[in-house]
Amino acid sequence: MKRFRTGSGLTAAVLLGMVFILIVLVPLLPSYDPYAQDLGGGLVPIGDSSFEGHFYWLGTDTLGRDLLSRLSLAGRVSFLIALAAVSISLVIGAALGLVAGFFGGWTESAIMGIADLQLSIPRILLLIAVTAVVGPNVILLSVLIGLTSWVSYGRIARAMVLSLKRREFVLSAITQGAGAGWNIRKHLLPNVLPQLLVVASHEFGQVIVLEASLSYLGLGVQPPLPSWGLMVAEGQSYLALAPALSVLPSIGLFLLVAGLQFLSQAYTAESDVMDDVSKATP
Amino acid sequence: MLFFILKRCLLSVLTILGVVTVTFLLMRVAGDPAALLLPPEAGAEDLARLRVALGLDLPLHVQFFSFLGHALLGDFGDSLREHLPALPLVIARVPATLELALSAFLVGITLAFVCGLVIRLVGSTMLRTVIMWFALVRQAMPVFSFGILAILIFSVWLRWLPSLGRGGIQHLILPAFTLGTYELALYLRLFNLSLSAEQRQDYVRTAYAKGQSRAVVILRHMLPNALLPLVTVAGINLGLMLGGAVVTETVFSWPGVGRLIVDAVSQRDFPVVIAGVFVVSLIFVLINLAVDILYGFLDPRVKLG
Amino acid sequence: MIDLRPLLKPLGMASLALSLSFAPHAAFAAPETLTVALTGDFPSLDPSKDSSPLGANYRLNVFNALTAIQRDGSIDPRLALSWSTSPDLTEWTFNLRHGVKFQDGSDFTAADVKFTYERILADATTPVRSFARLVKTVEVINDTTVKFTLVQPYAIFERQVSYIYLMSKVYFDKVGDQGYLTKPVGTGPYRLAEWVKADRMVLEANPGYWGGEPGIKKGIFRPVPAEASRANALLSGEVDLVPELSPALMTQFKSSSTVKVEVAPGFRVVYLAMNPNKPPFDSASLREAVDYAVDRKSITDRLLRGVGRPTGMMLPPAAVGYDASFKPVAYDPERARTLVKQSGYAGQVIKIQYPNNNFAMANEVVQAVGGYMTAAGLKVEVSPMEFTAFFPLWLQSKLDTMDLFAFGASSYHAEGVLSVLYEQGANAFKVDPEIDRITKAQRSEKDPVKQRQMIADAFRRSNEIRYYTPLYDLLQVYGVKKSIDFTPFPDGIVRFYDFK
Repeated sequence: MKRFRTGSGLTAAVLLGMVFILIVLVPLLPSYDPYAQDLGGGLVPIGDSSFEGHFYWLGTDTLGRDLLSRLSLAGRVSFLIALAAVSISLVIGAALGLVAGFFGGWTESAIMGIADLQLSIPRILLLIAVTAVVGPNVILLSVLIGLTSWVSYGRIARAMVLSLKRREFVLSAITQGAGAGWNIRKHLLPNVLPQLLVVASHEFGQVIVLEASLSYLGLGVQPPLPSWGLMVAEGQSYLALAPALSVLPSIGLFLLVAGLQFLSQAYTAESDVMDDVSKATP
Repeated sequence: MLFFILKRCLLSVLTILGVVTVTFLLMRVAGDPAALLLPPEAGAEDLARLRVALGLDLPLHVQFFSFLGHALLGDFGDSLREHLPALPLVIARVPATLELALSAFLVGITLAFVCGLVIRLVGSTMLRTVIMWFALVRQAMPVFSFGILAILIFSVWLRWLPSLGRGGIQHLILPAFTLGTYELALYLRLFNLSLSAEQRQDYVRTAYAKGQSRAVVILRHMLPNALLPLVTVAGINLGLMLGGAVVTETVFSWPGVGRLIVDAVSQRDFPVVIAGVFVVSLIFVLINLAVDILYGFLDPRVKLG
Repeated sequence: MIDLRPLLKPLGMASLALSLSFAPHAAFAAPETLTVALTGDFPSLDPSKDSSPLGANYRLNVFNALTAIQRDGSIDPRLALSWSTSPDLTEWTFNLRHGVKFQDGSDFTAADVKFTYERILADATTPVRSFARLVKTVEVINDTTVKFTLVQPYAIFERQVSYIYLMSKVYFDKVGDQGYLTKPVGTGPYRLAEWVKADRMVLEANPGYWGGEPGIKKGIFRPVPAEASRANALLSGEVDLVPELSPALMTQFKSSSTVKVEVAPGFRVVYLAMNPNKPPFDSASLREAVDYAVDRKSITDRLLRGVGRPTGMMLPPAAVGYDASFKPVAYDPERARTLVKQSGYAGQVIKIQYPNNNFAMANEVVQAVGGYMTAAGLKVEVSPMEFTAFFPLWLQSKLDTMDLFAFGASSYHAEGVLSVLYEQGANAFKVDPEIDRITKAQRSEKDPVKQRQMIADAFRRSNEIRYYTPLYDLLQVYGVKKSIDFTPFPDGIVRFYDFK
């Protein structure tokens, strides 16, 4: 934990802490209700009350729903989608990358071929086609994003395995008769995992931002369920009238993405590395 | 070596074949284009007649092999909406996409490169912090958010740049900048990491010992090595941008292939979808093939791996 | 992101200064060039192969049909000067205009009419065929007279011919299919000068147009799929007119001194359809409950900011057959709740299917409707779909329990709505035999007054059985430069020749 006591670690804690409060603590408020509509109380500004005297911390949206509650629920939805998608990609990528790197030969070529194939098909096409058959579905969305994002993890895992394979402790294990599974679990995975987690932290934010673009195209989360991305997309039309509709979820996105960036920087002790920009000589 | 190249080429061909097959199946499963080609005033017999005329009533494998046979000769069929050959329609949009993707690629690495270099030469932690926060703000904004903001500032308010379509270089600036800065935070981080890694190498110490100035050490010695990872990652993104720049193309009304494919998928215009995916995957696979062969020359371990 | 309202001020001041220095000579003179931002690109240049509303922007300017429908729904002669029909309404004779030339110089004669219709009827893949299928044969009587024989009696065939844009047989014989797909010619007030796909279409005024050269010399269409981008292009001056805007954007334009945003009548009615073939809407009282549960006024005044008018009829005011005596159902939540209890509603979840990208603010409207239904005691789930997923289901009557949609007749006649939503073989969940009978009868009714009465009867019955319940008239919001005088047609299609 010591590595997190850096500047980066602190910043990460503050940013992610705010996200935590929004997503986990806000629903505990008595006024929490992301679905109650009131057409007469639409677009109430931040910190103001509606005509009937109902106070809203962050105002309301076009249908008169409490923005604070919507933001909280939306944050949870975005977070869960990203979590599911990244977990799936990480597991598949790690597994396929390790296998490809370890066994090499045709196995490796086959796996890399599948990677190429999958990268060549535009993800959006896949989404539209599947959505057309099954209908828009949040779980499906996460799974599809997860299934189409494993290649980065796979490539890194494979590259690391290729270089680690030749190290003495692996070679000696193989000569002593240890099987593939044991080798992978004991030697390769612990070395590969940290790198993959760094990528995962970057990808987490990317997935949430990607979901925003998909919602913009109408392919992401569907109303009345909110997500930060959907709120940003829907709020675009109201920029002049009620900028809060778009700006507030954007701030939420920023807190999460930036927080994760600083977290992974703290983890890899990058900020110490980066501080050598100020050194004239090494 | 030759065997390696042949193996990679064979794999590429199989990949493209796989892509086309998967797309074909997906499209057939996704739904029936006939209903979308008709107005609301159409009746049931109009629908039936259209299906037969389009060959949609034939069994799936018959449709597939017929399509494959024609495709091998370069005929991907006619667009169901435009009644013009699908492949030329797609190819006509490729220059626009390449223009956007390449420009975005250059903007991305140039910005990362310039910023990273300036940070290191100036040596100010404050500068590094400021630039990094800017990059983070950009990373947290979805492409359409950033694009619309750029349009509001540069087109609507300042009226410096156009927001629509393709034309001279002034039309390219906003879309390329929007698409190119998408991964800026990542590139900056990568570049900085590489530079820092280079800085710890022995040859840098040697150079300083020889009395070379800071600028020369950074520019002449560290830079070329540090650029490689950056260009590699950006190169992969370039490939993805070919078919995936849909949102940018939509916001700026850029006539690219991404938008063509997505619109065609929405309209279930199969011939155009398949032709489009074929072209995009062909370019992507060719880039990959070239890079792999290049790596194969540079690093013998990879081939034997 | 920043609050943009202060930014509009400097823009406004600059534009005001500019416009004052260029005082126009006439208050609303037709501009030389007009650039219009549309929602997408045109599918095809061949008018016999495309019937899309988007394509109509192109077809109406470059081609002529025999007749054209005016803003108020009446019929105007175009390439036909007059017409007559046989007593049994199956034979229609049109007298054609003399001295009309196609844009390539060839003469327009009855042979072109025969050619166009036969070409369409022979092509099984064209959507235009649905508009010509009434025609059995076309006969050339002489160069300026053509006779149609229909497959059934039809009282308003002069309206139907307005959908078929006439092509030149002489030119086609020269250039063939490919020629018409790439370099088409028509008899209209504009000729196609340039088409850069997905970027722009440039139309230039036809000096030899039989109706006189139009005021706008150059009309440019630009496809701009993103709505915010259309609005921004108008604000930045890159386009002059945006025919379709979301009501949400209206405030953004209020403080601009260069562009104005207006509301105009549309031709569609937003309605709810309920499936009476299965529970829960097999119960008439439950359908009635929904009718009273929804506060139409709140939706149009508050949610849509006035861009919509509550209505009590499945026809908009623009359509022939509209009857102002039909009043919208008043909001009565108490009655709705009582009716729900009475109906024996078993608590099953009602899914409302709707297209999320076909009409303005559909997402919000359906959520509002869902909210009202929930308040009345029903369990509701909204099911958004892309229009391209929704439409095939709608077309084949394969939708589930309930749907929200906007429909209108582009012919501005009740016939268009009755034949599509109510008649046997149409898109209805269930066909009411009474309405079906009236629909068929009014089609062959020659007396317009009697026809209107029959139409009113049909819609009155529709309101009684409530398979469809109308919510509000869909109005159109458009943005245009302040210096341009533009009054749109209810169908929202831009006719460059319509500017004085």
